[in-house]
Amino acid sequence: MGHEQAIASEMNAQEAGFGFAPNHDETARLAFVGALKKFANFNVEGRVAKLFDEELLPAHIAKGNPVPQIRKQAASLIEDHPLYQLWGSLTFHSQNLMWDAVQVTTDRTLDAQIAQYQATASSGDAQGSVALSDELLVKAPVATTEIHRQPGGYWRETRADDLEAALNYSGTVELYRIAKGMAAGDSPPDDAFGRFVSGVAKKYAPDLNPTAILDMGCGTGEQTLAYKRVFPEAEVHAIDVARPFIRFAHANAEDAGVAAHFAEMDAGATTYEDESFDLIVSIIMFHETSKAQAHDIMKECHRLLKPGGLALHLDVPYQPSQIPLIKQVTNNWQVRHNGEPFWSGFADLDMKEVAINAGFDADSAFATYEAVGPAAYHFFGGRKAS
Amino acid sequence: MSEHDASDSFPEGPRPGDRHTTFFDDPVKEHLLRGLITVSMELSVTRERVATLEALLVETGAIKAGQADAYQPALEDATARGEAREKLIESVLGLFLESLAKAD
Repeated sequence: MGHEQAIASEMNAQEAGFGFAPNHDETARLAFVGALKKFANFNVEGRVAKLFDEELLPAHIAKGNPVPQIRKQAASLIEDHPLYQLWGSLTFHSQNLMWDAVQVTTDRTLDAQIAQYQATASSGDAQGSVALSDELLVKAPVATTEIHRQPGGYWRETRADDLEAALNYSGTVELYRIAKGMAAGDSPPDDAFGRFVSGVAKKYAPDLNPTAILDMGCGTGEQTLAYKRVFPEAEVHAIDVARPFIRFAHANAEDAGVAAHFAEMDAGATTYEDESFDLIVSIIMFHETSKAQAHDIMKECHRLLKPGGLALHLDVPYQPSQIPLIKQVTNNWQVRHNGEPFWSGFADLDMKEVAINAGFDADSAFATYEAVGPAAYHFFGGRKAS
Repeated sequence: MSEHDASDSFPEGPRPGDRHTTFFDDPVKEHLLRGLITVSMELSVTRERVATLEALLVETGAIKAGQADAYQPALEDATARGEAREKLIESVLGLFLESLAKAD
């Protein structure tokens, strides 16, 4: 094969797979936005924290003022500082650039991706399945907020078999890994978080051999694949309220050759029968719900678990006891300016108490932290009494 | 339940589709910074494109490594490049010059 043919063949192979597929320049643009976000998150936010700790706070105390105890008091010390404004501007604008950048790839590839989904969904030889529901009522904040300022939000559709929101979201995942410093060194596999959660499940319930697993708030379903790979004997189900994401997840799983069953469903009000699963998991779902939904979802977990089953949920580790006041200030900025309406509300919830209120025994309910690489995540849930 | 009703109210967030909220005291300076970042992004993309093209040219034997660095444009080409360069500078800085000159 000549070199030109080899290049053309390679390009065709790249285009044949399902999923977000940026070309050369689109990849370079995303890499730039990822690097810009990393600069804002580490270099600039680091300087903001240093300014607060080493200058603004000591000066405030030296004037005889009390040490700030809550986020609001800390915010008033820094909100008008030009460095904090620069951090806000860079964070806001990098989000603009990110959504603009992924949209270019989505617009270029959307029709072909939809055709591929339609072929998969109607082929009849799928290993897994997809089930959509016209009855589902999408609730706030997902229904009312453009979470992360994603244009149109997660769930809206503008064409038949729409995948636009899922393709755009999927395009941001690798970029966020760069921005949070997680892509340094070896690039982790696409299902790294699902594998991490699976490992924690084995640690917390070493005797559990799950035969039926439910992944709640599965989004685009990349992490769902890990549960089938780690527990190949188990039947794996996954749900989300965003229809474009459920379609994407199905086509993605079939493309990867992994059997998983995806359904458009509310985690707080599923249609599964009592005691259907022995492992229920989620990854960064709870902070995009509400206090009422968090309680409903945990109750639903208890109802759906078989005796001895484990509910294990991962979310952001931003509880006030875990992070300094200045980080609470920048996190609250995300609430106001980055479409994270329940970010602070979630951080204030005691998820162990939520699990106990949902029916888990006090000695089996937990709210803990587990580290992966340089990052730690909040884990919570419980084990249903045998 | 009333507890549920109360807990489902959310703090104020960004307006749908908002791209223009600013944070600096002077929004004009902030928009200039944002424009500069966008230009830097496109420069980064173009640099990567050129690096890819040059690598492919070397790989396929069309040019030798270092040949682009050693390249000297012919006089006519060099003149055209010089004119384009000056036109670009004029297009970026000309309006500043005119408006500041008028401000005096």
